[in-house]
Amino acid sequence: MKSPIRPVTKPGQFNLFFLEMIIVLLFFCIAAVVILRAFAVSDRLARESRRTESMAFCAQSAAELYSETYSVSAAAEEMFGISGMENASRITIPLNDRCVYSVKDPALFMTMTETKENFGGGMLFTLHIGFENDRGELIYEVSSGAYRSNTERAVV
Amino acid sequence: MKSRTERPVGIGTGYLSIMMIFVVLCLTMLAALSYSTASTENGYSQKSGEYTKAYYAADLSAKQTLAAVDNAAAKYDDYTDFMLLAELDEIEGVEYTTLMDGLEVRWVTPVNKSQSISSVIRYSGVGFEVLEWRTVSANDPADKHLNVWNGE
Repeated sequence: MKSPIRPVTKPGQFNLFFLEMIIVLLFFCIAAVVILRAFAVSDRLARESRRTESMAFCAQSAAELYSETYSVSAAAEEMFGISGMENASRITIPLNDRCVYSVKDPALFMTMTETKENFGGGMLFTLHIGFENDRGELIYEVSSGAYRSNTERAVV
Repeated sequence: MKSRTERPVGIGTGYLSIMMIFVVLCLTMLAALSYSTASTENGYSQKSGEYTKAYYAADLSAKQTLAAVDNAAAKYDDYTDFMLLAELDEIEGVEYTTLMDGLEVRWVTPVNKSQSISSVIRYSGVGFEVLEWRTVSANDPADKHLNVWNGE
């Protein structure tokens, strides 16, 4: 019968288990850096795609409302509940990532600019919608329009 | 008979390496899948955004054509006036048909390679009426039928 008492490793003697653990930890650290970067890039891409979709839907809603109301302020009021900007031809609205009106924590700034061109038969209204990020870079823009004829029947 | 105290304590050499390889492989697969999904979603949302932009640009262009047509028509009481038809001929992409009681004007504005906005308006009496303002396939018009045997 062997004795349960094991010999104590002498100082300076190489322990194979700890050597393997050190190598494994080093390799795991290197792999974790690469994998975490991949996860971070995926997260950034997912956020960007959500933001692009939100901006497209937001611009679409603004364009449709504008073609009904012929007014930037009326479209802004319908979309975000912002009032007190009657007769404005240019409005900048602070929004969060989901394109919800947010004064406290804006991530986007939606600017709606209206131009009017008088034709003989009616008025052509053009709306330019631009989205800027918090660094002031233009990241998405849409131009739409509406035509109001002088005759009663025609509204497009 | 062996004593319990003879069993090796802890895990042996090599198990750590195998476990680490398994964990790293799993994490790599998850990272690759999440990146692939995010990249595909980003591509779709970019395309969706570009389409929205192209559609409203085409819609604006179609309305500019409408404004030009209406500007020409507003000058005349008779919609079959030769001078009005000559003015409509000068507007790019506009086709017209004179009717008994008025005038039908149509034009097509391309949205992208595969889609267009088809616009048809009719002038009769005072002003015009929009008969059609819809997105159609650019390569496959609605009036094109398949050349198949119809049973006759």
